[in-house]
Amino acid sequence: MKPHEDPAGKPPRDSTVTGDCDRVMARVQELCDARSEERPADPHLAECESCRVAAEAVLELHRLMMTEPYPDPAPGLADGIVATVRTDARRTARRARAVLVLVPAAAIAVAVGLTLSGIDLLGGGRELVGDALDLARVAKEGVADWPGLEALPRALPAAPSLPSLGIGLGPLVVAPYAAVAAAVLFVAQVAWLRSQRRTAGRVA
Amino acid sequence: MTSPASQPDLARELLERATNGDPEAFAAIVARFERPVHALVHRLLGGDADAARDVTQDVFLKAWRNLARYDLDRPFAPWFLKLAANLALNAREARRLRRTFSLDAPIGDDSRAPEGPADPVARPAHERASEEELRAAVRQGVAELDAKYAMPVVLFYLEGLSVKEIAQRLDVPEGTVKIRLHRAREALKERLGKFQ
Repeated sequence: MKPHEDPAGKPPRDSTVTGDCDRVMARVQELCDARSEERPADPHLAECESCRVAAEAVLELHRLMMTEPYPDPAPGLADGIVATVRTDARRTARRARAVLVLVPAAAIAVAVGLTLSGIDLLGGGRELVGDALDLARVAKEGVADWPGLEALPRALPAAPSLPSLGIGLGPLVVAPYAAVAAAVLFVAQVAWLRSQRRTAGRVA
Repeated sequence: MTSPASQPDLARELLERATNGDPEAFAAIVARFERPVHALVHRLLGGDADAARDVTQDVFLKAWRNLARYDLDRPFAPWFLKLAANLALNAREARRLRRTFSLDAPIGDDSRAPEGPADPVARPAHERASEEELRAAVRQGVAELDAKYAMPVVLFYLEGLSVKEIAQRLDVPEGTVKIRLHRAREALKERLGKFQ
């Protein structure tokens, strides 16, 4: 049988092979599987030379493989692997710091900047939404009873639909809350990173 | 012989730390598995020391980057050695394809082959092979076995696993392992017979 062939297709059986031959060779394989040092003692071996040769060959092969020296790795292999892993870990930690710390920090900086520049996001957002709802009601029900009639010529051309208002103004309303959440997240992540560093220090 | 099968599996705490990205915990895994993984890869690559070193390094780095996929409730050694075997077999296949389709070397060129005669059949029949030559022929024979026969041979002879343990490791019935070992021995015996 060739090594690359799938042995499902069995080779043609030798006409001289008997049940005794099969039994002896099965016994040889059994002994190998059990890692036994025992030699097959079958009277058939004395009378069948091809079985004797085949059994000897299998047992010799078994011996060679059982006594095959264990291949040791080249010196420095583990050190090289560990050095690469450490570099990789440092790079990953840097990326994690960038994502976990810098992004919330940037969000806070933007929120603080907007607040300092005088934009009242929370109040302004509410006001904008209220105006938009008024405009939408006017567009639907007419202007007769609307108290802000005098402002209509300015506002009406810009009157949008409710969903587009929601999409457009939603982030403005949400931004202050997101800034607060980012701040909490930032503090939690800094605490987590400190604990990680403490753990790494303990292991080292 | 050091075999991961003969040692208890790694401590869960160590594995947890490694899966959480702790390089020092992974260094402990490297120390523990360097020899068995290298030996497995070395054998599957037919004793090619350079290729075995490269693939062993690759195995550990792949494991490090994919530890998140490892299920902590399962034993580590089988998962890891399976990864090692797969990478070694891929490397072996790639090498075979490279040789087959190389424009520089004629088909059958074996310049990267491990120690041992390139073509055992070409030896004069009256010259009997030395023990080392026979070993080289067996190593080369194992490296040329189909993966499903090479794996049981390496696990049985190199790692010292029993038929039952190999069946568990490869997730096949014990009978299948016995048949594969039997057929692998027959194939190797044929190769050795030509050599002697």
